Parts: sequence; structure tokens; C-alpha cells
Amino acid sequence: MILKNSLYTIVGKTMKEQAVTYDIQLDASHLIYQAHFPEEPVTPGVCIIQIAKELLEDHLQQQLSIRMVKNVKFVAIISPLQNPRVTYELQKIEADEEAGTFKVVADVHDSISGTAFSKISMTCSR
Amino acid sequence: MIGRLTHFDTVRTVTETDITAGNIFADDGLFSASGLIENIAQTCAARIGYINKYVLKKGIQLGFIAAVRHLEVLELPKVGDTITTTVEVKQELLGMTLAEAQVTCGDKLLVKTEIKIGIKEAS
Repeated sequence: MILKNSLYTIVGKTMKEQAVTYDIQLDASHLIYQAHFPEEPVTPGVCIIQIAKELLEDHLQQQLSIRMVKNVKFVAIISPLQNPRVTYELQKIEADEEAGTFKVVADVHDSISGTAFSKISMTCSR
Repeated sequence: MIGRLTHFDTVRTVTETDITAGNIFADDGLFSASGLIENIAQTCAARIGYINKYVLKKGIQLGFIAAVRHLEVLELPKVGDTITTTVEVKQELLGMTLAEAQVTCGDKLLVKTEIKIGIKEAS
């Protein structure tokens, strides 16, 4: 399942010393939103995690697979109608070259209002 | 996406799913980690749906993942495999359900995790 350029598109990327920030635009007309849920589109939790993985792949320019999810908290619903612009701040990216794993903490919030949506702490591998 | 509910009691819910090539979570013959998490979430939803329909005799409620903790992916299933997902409820409080879940394929453990599901009361 690749959600990039289908459920969302990347509209911006900025890099600072400690974090990589992606701004994305959600597509409210996507098939997933028609099922989840009819007349009440809500971004599924797994899609929020999957997007974090895909953005890490985009940043590192390599294919990854989720190995461990230490902790994910979903604090508010992401509606593609009310919150079409979402920011993922990828913090503390740690590579273990020998094991081929990458740790990341993703802070997910509304690009405009700053409302916190989710915090994801996970490890992906090549 | 989950295939069928095979067991239900007050603590334990079990579902089975056949992984088909056309599954939205299948890529290059493998079912993704996101698919496994979604499968666990849907097993929790099937449990709540069963309780609402057959125990409480009330309508459908919307459910959301509130948290995932200590998730470990050991192996991904392949297209053609049948996976078994077991959810054991640890605590239920204020519309929140905390459960331990695991997905197996035959006698292989694929993933284990803790999951918290929130329920929205029908308006």
C-alpha cells in the first residue's frame, strides 16, 4: 500500500539541524475516506503511521519496512475536510547502519492551526 | 478487510483473514506491517460490533485507534497465507478498550502489540 500521491501529496519539505519537516495535503475524495467512514471521513490510524514511514523513505531515499512501534498516541481525529494540510515533523532520526535500521519520532499536527494529532515513535528497517 | 470472526467471549476475540493478491495492504506478494495493525484494529471493531449487535442489541458505533504500544513485527505474511488475529481485552474504561493482540500464521507468531481503541457513541 503506497499512499503517496494517492491519499496525500507532499507540498513542502524543510530541513533543520534536528528535524525534517514535511507538509502534506490530504485528498478527501480518496476511496479510503469513502469507507472510513461514510459521510464522516476520518484518516485511519494505520494510514497516519504508514505516511510517517513513507516520508522517512522519501527523506532517506530507500525502501523501508516497519519493524517496531514503541509507542503511538492519537490525540485528535484528522478529518481531510477540516484538516486537509498536515505537518509531519520527523525528529531524532537515528541510523544503525550495521543492523540496517532507522529510528524516528514523528510529531504530526495541523499545518495551519498547529493542533496536535499524533506522536509516533518507531523503528523501520531496509 | 478481516475475513471472519471465529471466536468471541468476554475476554478473547479471534478472527481469520485470507491474504489475497488484491488486498490493499499487499505489495510484491507480502502483506505490510500497516495491514497487520489494521487487521488488529478491525478485530477489535468486530468484537465491539458483535457485542452491540448480539449482546446489547444496539446500533453500529465508530471506533478509532487511540494508541499502539510495544508493537513488534517478527515476520510478514505472504499472499495465499491465512492469518489468525487474537485480541485479549485487558481493561475497559470510559469508552476506551485496552487490549493485547497477536497475529499468527500457522504456529508462527507474526506480530504482537498492545492497542487502545476509542469508541464514539452514536449521535
